[in-house]
Amino acid sequence: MREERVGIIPKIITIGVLLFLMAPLIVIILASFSPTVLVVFPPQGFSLEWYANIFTSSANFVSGFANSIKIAVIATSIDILLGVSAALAVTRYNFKGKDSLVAFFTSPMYVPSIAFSFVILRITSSQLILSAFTRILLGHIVIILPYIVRNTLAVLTGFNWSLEDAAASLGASPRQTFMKVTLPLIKPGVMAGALLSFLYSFDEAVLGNMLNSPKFITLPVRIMNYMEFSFDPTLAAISTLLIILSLTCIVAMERFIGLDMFLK
Amino acid sequence: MAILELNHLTKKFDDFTAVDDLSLTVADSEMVALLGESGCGKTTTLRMIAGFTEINSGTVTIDGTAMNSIPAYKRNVGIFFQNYALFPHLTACDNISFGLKLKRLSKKTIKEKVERIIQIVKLEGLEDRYPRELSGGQQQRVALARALIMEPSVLLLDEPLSNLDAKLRIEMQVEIKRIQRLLGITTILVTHDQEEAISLADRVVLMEKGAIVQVGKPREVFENPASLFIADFMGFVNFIDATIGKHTDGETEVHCSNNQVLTLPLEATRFAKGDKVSLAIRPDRIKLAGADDEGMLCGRIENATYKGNITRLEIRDVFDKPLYAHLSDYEGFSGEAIGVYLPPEKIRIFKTT
Repeated sequence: MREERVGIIPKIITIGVLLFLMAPLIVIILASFSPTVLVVFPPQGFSLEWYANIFTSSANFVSGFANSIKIAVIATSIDILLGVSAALAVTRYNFKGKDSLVAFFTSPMYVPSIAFSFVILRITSSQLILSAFTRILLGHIVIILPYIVRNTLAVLTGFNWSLEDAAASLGASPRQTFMKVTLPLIKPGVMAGALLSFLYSFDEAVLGNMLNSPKFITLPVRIMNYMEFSFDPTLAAISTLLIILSLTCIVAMERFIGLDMFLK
Repeated sequence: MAILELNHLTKKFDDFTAVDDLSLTVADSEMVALLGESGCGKTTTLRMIAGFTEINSGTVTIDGTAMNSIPAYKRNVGIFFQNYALFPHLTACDNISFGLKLKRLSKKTIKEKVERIIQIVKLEGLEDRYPRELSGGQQQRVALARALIMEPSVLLLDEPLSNLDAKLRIEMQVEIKRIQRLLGITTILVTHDQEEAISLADRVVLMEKGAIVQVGKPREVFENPASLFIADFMGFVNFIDATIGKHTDGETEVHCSNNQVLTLPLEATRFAKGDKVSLAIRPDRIKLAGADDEGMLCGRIENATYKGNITRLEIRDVFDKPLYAHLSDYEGFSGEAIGVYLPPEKIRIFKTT
């Protein structure tokens, strides 16, 4: 990085941009402590009743949270296996149609989730009957795969393959080479992709809304339903908790793996 | 320590034959260099010995056991990679002990072996550094130690000196030779640098287009290349076109361009009158000659480049093509007249028709 004194103007602009980006979050967090039902800014007092309401509300946010976590964890775990295998296969070997395969793995990003949800809904309502949990899970497995594939591919370009040869020459079987050499080196990319995938799945509302059933509803949908008849700071409280959850994930990632790869 | 045999080794990539029926035996504790330009097949041969490239036909045998169906990680072959291939997420010590840990040796044994090898390659004090914290020369020694500690039957060195600066290169030449002799490991060195091959190897194997074109001790290969192509590769910069003239009493007249006639002590049987040949001589074998010296050839300096240890002279008007000479401790100026002498015993003659 160049060693240069940053002028005052760039500093002011940067602070301005940061405030602009952070402003909605700050408003939400402040609003969540508001003692009044109507979300008022600036806040008129301090109350934790909306946080309590999350757990007691008939809207059943807790089960929504549990369902979203279930889907996100399972979908991300499966996609780590699928995505990393795909990325490794594509970068390690040269074969015809390699680029098309990569495009194929990243294509879900370009399919509108509404259309995708509709197709799943149709198929799983007639030809292949699946529970809401299963069909949402399958839908998520497809739409979050690109994030893991792309991030793993990013770490793998410029990967020194002779490291694998070196490990083999020292007696490491292919499995040992993968566990002791390849995986530790691609972990940052895989984890970054996994985090993005997890957060995307957790936040996902379109498939969740179209494919749910009364017995299985994810958190974003619960929030949307709640908003229809009640617009109180409970929503701000939930949002604040979700912000804290995301921040915790990112901080944990930084502690364990380091996010400096994003600076390169 | 082992005997390495390559028997009729062949490797084809689609239509391209990378290695063509190559056979070679490397004796126990011998260091052999595979020397050639890029594309000559030396690296492919190395990879077949290592087990990274599948063999189409022929065998690689180490101490009598054929390696063809044995995967790379089960062959006891140590490899030094040109780019070192050090594991960036492990310290020098962990890099070196990587292979031993896989063998599940006791911590005590590993510690002893690591300490010993670190002393041999002179890396004391640097064990806990990561590869990125080490200099090129230090990284190289870690890579070497990592391969040697496994006590392989065969050691493969892929261009070991190519990434080093001049001073380090000379230092490591001595080190590698010393360590190889000390441990007595049968070694194959792959390089395109003839200086590297000649200074390290017991025997030099020249490869061209997938096949062996000459084998010999370094001195032999350096002074007596077997073909025009090899002579060119080995640095015989001067190639003088000539025709064989008449032969009298153990001496033959050789007619070169510019009406120069050299009298060389050649046996009558070597060439017939009229044969077209190319005379090859190394630039550093050309000597300065004075007016009264026998066999002196007159020329004119076109260019003089001072290189520190020698002065490279481009000399015209001797033959039709310029003659290049390397003279040490000589100051030459453009345009100056100069007398040179080509010692007959240093001229190599190759038939060109």
